Amino acid sequence: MATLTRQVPFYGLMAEFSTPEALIAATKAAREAGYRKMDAYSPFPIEEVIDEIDHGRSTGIPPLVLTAGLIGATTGFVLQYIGAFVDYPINVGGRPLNWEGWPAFVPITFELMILLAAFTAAISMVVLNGLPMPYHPVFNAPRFDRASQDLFFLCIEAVDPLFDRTETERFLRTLAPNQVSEVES
Amino acid sequence: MTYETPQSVTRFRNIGFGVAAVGLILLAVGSFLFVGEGLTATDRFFESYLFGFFFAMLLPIGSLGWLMVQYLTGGTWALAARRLLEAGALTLPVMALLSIPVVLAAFNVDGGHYLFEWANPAVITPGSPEFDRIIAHKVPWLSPLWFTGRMVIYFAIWCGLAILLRRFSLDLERTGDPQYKLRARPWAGVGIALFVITVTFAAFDWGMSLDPHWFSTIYGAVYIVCAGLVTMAFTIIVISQLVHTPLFEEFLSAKQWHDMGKLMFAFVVLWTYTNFGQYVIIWAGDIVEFTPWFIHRGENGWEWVMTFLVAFNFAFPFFVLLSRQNKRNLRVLSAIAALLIVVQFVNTVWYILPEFHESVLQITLGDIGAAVGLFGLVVGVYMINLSRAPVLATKDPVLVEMVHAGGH
Repeated sequence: MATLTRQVPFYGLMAEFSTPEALIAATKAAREAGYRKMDAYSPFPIEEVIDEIDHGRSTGIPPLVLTAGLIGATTGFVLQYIGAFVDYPINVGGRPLNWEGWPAFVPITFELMILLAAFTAAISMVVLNGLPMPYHPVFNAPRFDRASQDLFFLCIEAVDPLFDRTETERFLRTLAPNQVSEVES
Repeated sequence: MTYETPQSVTRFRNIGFGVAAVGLILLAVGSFLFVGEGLTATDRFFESYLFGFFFAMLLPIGSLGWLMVQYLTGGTWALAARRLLEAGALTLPVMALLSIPVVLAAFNVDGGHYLFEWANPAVITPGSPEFDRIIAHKVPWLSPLWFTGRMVIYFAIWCGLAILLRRFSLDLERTGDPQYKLRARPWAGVGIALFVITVTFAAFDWGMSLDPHWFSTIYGAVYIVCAGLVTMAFTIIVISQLVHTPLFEEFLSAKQWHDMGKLMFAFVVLWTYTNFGQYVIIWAGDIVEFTPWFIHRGENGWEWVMTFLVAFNFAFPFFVLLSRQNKRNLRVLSAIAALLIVVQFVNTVWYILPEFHESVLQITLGDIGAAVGLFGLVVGVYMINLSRAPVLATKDPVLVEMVHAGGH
């Protein structure tokens, strides 16, 4: 780890593009050139860019949500089973007091599955994204506020093993960006 | 409009009509083979035909519903599906003709066993030994004449909407003027409300009224969900077969069938939700008027059909479609789609046939023949419709989003 986390005086190099197509092409080129520690910023989600940046890397959320859903369903069912059959058997209109009464438990089982899965999806998204994050260096890039309006950005980070201040800048300039700028950390 | 029909469309048209011929021959043969238990060949024919009609109508009805939905939601999946849905919805005029035997059955033209119990005058005449007060009470609604009237109203509304929306679509194709799309939208909005009401009552008429004592308010919604599921599955299959035709090759990507896969997944869950909802309410209520429908469908082999449905209309497709990779893989997706159409056939078996047969073993050759034959006929007409216009609405402004980044 120590060799990877070099101390660098700045966060990375930011290239600015005018069109989503240019960003897609740039991201693809950067990936093919071997860069991995990079991120793209655009006013709307662009699936092709996401595919290039993530490249099959899972966000880690799906297995968490599946696990939470299964836990929710199990909890919901067992909770009702113990309550209504084991600890305090109660006769509701003559419905069976054994496993044959399972249909009555499905709504709660289902609801608890959804509840836990949805909370896990939302919370793990926030946590895995490292939010809340009051400061992030990319906002030091010039005109970066327009990433939420009409401009498209690709940032290759200085921690990337292939990163070289001059080489990487030369590479980014071959992608015909509007400008390339150094991002202060 | 010069436009070359993709070869596979012609091939599927021929397959559809071939299957239709075989199925309808089986229907005729089956009707004669299974004479007995006080039923004549025409009685058998009407039973099988109604069952087949109930199944074959899923695709035309679902196509009309999705066609209106896609105008209201927009999106590139909607554009990719539009011409296929138009082709499906335009099978409705043919189905209107094919509904005539159902009307004839309501009038009991063969003079034999009454397919619809409520159509039997002895059942609704006070003092007769067969008199049934509950059915007699429903006579103002369930009479052969008003049944026919409703049938005319349903098909008039459905065919009208299908033809109107197709005209807007072809005008757009001809002129390239996007105002035709905007003009289609209000019709889609009004149409979807009419659609839900008419399909609900149609399902009550064709299926639920076979047991005139029993009723379930969600029955119509279940039929709409089944239609939506069959149609989305069929659309995915057609796309998987046409994906290499020039227009689709140029504009279509995994994004579109991924979205359709998500919708199909949603309808798998919706099928489960509505059916289980219907079951658990009746089970928990435990009222003698409502339970017989489920009790009959849970014995004499029908319980195995039910188990099959839970496994293959819910559990298996649910877990396969949960995964993103599977929804983006057109091969896997269309295989699941094909499975779901077969399973929906089994679902129709479970809904309709217990009204005619005590045991699952009594399903006749004619039943299978009618369903397969009428479905084949729908597929054949669908393919003729599909060959009459480009498979993709090329003048729609959304086409730009299809090739550009970020669209859905």
